[in-house]
Amino acid sequence: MTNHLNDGQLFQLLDGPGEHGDTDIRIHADSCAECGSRLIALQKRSRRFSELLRRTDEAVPTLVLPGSPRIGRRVAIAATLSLLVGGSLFVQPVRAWILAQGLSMWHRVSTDAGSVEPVAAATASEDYSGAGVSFAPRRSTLTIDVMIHQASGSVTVRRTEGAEVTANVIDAGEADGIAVLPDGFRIENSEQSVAAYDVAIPSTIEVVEIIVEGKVVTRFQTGGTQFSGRTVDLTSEPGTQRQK
Amino acid sequence: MEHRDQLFLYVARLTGDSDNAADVVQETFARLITRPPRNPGPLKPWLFAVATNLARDEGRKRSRRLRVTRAHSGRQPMGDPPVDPETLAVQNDLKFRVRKALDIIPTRDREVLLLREHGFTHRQIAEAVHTTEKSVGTMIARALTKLEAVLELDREAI
Repeated sequence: MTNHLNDGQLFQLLDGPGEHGDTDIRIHADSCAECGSRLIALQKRSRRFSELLRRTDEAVPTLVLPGSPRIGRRVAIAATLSLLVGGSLFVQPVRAWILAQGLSMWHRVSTDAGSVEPVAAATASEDYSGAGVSFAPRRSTLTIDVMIHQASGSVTVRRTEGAEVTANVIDAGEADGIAVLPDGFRIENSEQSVAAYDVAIPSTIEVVEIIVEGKVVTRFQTGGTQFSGRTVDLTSEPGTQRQK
Repeated sequence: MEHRDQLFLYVARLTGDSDNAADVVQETFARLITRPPRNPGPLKPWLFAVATNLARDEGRKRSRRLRVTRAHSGRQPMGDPPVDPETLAVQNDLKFRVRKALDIIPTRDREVLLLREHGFTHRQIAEAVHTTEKSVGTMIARALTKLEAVLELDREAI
């Protein structure tokens, strides 16, 4: 590359390599004194703007959701649940409480909607080592949505005579957690996560679908007498193994 | 509450209206439950993309409301009395100037610039504003230059 870099290319360089890499741009910037000095100037301009924004930012308010005239009760409760789960799920000591409270609110949401059968009050399971959730399923299909492949861990699904889905987290790390979704639950993990999950499902569940990184890796029927349990490896499911 | 606070700051910077920003943040988190993301992955880009769309929609509604009010009643919308820009400038000159500068640049350039401020990669920004990854750098450069011109910041002084 013989021409000087434009500002757009310099910003590409400043903000890190893009999808296709910035090798040519980097080589030129390293060897061209003019572009190198422009890169430094651009960095300073960028920092000055960041500082201006920080100095003029609004104070973050405390959001009070229930009773807000802008959103309905159902959405307000859902938002509260979301804020609790999304914002504080990673604080280990309060996780179980949050999940229990969140589930309680989720059941209120479901009941308020009037389109589902009333469900029993949700409580956090007490016989788990890390955290856990239990909730009454709304459909006969349960979806377990795993954000990404983990360093290790598995999901074991077994059937019980109970009326609720119970998901217990075993050996959870600091960044592991679960959140309840309308049709199942989501495992909020990371590549470093090592948690395993013990999931008990009631006989009303007919299909269990496990999604990892957006792809359905396992879908199995739970009806009949053949089903006694199933364990799915979260690190090396055939056909979807991560390139490390 | 890291996501919530970051999201609020982003929308407040984007719209210049902290009340509206709080509403958008609430609505965004409500959608996380009522219509959660279909694809797994980091939550932050999804939250910011939803908030950006909601802020755009709210901006359009607000614009329509103002037009209707001015065309039919000749009065200003109800609420706090309008603050004279000069008074506001005296009260908080820097804030006023930054806000004015952000309002002058095109919406998409503003979104690009602010998403970058919140740590998004060019690829994530491109997806959020529906453009190509390569054009993001150019949009950032253009937006920053315009802002500096409006703010009368001396580029050569750096």
